[in-house]
Amino acid sequence: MNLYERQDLKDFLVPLYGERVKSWHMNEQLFNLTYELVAESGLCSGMMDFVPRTMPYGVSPMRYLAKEIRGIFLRTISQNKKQYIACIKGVAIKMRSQFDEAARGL
Amino acid sequence: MENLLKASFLISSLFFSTAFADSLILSARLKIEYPAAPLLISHGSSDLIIKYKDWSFMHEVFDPETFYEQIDLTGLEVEFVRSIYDDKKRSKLPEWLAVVSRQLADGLGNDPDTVKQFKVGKLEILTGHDNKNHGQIFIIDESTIHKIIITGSKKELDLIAKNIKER
Repeated sequence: MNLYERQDLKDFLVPLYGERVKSWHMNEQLFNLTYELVAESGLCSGMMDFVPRTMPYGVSPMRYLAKEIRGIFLRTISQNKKQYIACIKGVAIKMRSQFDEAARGL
Repeated sequence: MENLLKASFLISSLFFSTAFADSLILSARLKIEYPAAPLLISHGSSDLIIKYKDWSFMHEVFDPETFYEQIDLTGLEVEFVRSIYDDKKRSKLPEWLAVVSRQLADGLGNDPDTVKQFKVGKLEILTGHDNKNHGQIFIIDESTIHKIIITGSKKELDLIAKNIKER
């Protein structure tokens, strides 16, 4: 991930998981979890539009998506986060410890 | 001799791996007895993760001010948490908050059969699991609400829930 992508990812995650996200290093695992979070939030109207394509089971979205698509995905979710925050909060809670484990390299 | 060694190893591994649980003290009257020998314990700025080979759980205190970035739930937090699990309680909330509660419940995706509410002494416990790999426990302990997130099966959720104890 380049600097802009890391910032978009962080901007998306701060409203979900709080200010402490600012100290997280945005890594591949956090990107993959975010992709899963958005895909899992399919019940939020319009949220699935952000998921670029169906992912084969078990592959890393970070490696599977073309760089440009990855950038567009991150930019789009970051720009639209306020619209969907309440809707995706439940899924975010479920995945909370996975995000923390990924951020801490556990 | 070999058999004797095997038997003593078996006995000691049973004794040390399953017989003991450790206590996590969460407040003056709340503790959780969690299975012994986790792979690791990690403390974050406001949370604690206890990780095993195939599952983990995390504890943090529910903060009504920051749970939602744009909504301060202070004063409403207990009723809000109860409403996640109970449609009747949800219907008594202000309409806007009932919508937020419904969205949260939908996102948690709990299987209705896994939703439980029970008391341990004065502690009120609410649990749910999505029947995949995620579960959650809220413990209402007077004015403090503890949140436990389980990444694991319903079996592990039940294991933690039944080991919530009053001190």
